[in-house]
Amino acid sequence: MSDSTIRPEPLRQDAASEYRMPDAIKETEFEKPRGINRVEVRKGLARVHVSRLSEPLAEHRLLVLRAVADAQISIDFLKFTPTGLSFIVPISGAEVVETALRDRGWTYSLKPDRSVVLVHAVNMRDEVGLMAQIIAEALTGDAVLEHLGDMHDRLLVVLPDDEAEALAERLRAQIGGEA
Amino acid sequence: MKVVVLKFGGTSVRSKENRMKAALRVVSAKEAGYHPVVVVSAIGRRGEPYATDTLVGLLSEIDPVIEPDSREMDLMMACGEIISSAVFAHTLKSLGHPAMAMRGGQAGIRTDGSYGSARILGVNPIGLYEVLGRGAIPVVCGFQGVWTDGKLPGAELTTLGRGGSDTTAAAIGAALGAERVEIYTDVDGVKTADPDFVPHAPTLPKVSYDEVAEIAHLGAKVLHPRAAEVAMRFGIPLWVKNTFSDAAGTEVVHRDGVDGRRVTGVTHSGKLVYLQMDLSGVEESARRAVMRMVYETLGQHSFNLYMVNLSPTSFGFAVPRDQYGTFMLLFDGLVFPINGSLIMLQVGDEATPETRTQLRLLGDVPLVKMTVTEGCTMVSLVGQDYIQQPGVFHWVLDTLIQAQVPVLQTSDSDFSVSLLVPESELHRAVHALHDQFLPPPVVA
Repeated sequence: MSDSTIRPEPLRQDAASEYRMPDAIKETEFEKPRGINRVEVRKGLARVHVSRLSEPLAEHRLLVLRAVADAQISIDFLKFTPTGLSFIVPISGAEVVETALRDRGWTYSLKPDRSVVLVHAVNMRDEVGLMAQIIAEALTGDAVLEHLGDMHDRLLVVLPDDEAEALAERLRAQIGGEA
Repeated sequence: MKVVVLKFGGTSVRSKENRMKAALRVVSAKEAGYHPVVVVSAIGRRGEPYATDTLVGLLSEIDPVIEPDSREMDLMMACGEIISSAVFAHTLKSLGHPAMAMRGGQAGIRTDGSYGSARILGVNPIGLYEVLGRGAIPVVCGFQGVWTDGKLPGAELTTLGRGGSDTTAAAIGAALGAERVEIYTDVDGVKTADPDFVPHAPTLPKVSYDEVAEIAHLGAKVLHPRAAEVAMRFGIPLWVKNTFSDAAGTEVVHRDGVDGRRVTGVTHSGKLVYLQMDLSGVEESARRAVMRMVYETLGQHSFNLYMVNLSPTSFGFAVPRDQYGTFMLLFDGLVFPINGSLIMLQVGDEATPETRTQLRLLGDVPLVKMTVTEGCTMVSLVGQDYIQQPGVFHWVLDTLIQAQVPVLQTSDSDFSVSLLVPESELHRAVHALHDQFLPPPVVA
């Protein structure tokens, strides 16, 4: 036989009832807001683009990376291009890298005085359309974008030093984020 | 007053036996002098009767064309955790321990109004304190919260999206100032690789919040990055443990609590299509306009992008495979004006009959081809203070070349290097990187 009237069962008291509620209960604020939270500029970089490598491309790219590694220079934002690769090095390492590339006879361009504009957003890849919107906005002005990269929480744009602050300002104004 | 939050995932609550093992962990915590607070996921995994996917299927199978409204989807999805919390609370009661099942809203979890992927705005723990004060164990539905739009009576139920129950646990831990949050799963802790790929992958005894967030973002499924980020922000000690073993598990700590430079693990994620656009046939002055048009369209149509890249004569990115059909519809054969003349896009090496007809009709229109590589995925090497070393890219690519894994593109951060590889080579790529960078200890 079942009782159709369901009543909440009174909770039994036990050792845990010694629990004392805090005098003041505050709501705790949590996750970072969606979307862009910061747009920052990092200066002091050089952009290297090595092109016209021979086939097999993968192995020749590896030779370039080996040469830079042997020069004890750490690289960032490596990207493959149709006939080579491009990456960023600290300006302090640019001369050493240039020597390594020149000595091996590779076709390259090395542009000093570059900055990276970093656009930070939590879980950027899960925010539908956000990365494309940022790139489209960056392409709207006159800034010369030379290099793009992404990770799960940021998009990066490499461009000449003298254009970086203006692009960062415009992105903050158009799509949000703090400095 | 010592509070510990114990979160149990779907496998841990899928059967009566499993729930009993999980419940005994709660009892142990209580007997050790803690006030346990439990967070539960829905019961079981895909295909099982009360799993979230099964419940969603009840709505989505009604009509293959009309998508269910996200509000109703949230109501449906949240049922899984509600069932689970009631069952788990009763399991604890059967062991002689007062317990009370609570919906996310009753536990004070307040979110924004993004159905299906809501963010926790705040947690007011008064309800939790009330239950604890009555000597009971709160059993909270993970993955859900509430928001109020001021129009509909009562609060609207929202779900938190992927990994939502982990995030619930971390948020409650922070709100209650818990001594620790324990995430229980069916593996012994955070592994150096997916054990389905590398069965001998060891468990890491300790990882930093940054490391665990990074590997979670890049595909490790053991803990959701949002949970790691919340725990890090509030300094809540976090553990990943196995419900079914006495292994010590993995402790997640601040960065300075982990020994220096090292590789944390190899992860993999994503089913992607890689697209590369060759602009060498387009006048330099028009290239920027082409790129802008493409990215504007991608943004308007909510594409997620990966591996974005740019060179003087090309640009590219990867899109999720499930968005590729839409991509084709939007871009293949698209004709658009640039600087007063027309340009046409072709996706793939072969023009479709429609594109050929269009080209014939339009006459001499410059054609911009987009190379398509389907069946791609990302494999990543994650390492704290490791990736910044000179030579890392060379070692990683050399390892993959030696293993005959083609690499299509890369991206990197302070903590990781990700490589776009053919999905067919994924096993080989994960093994090669794991063997190279995380070799098993040599036994004398």
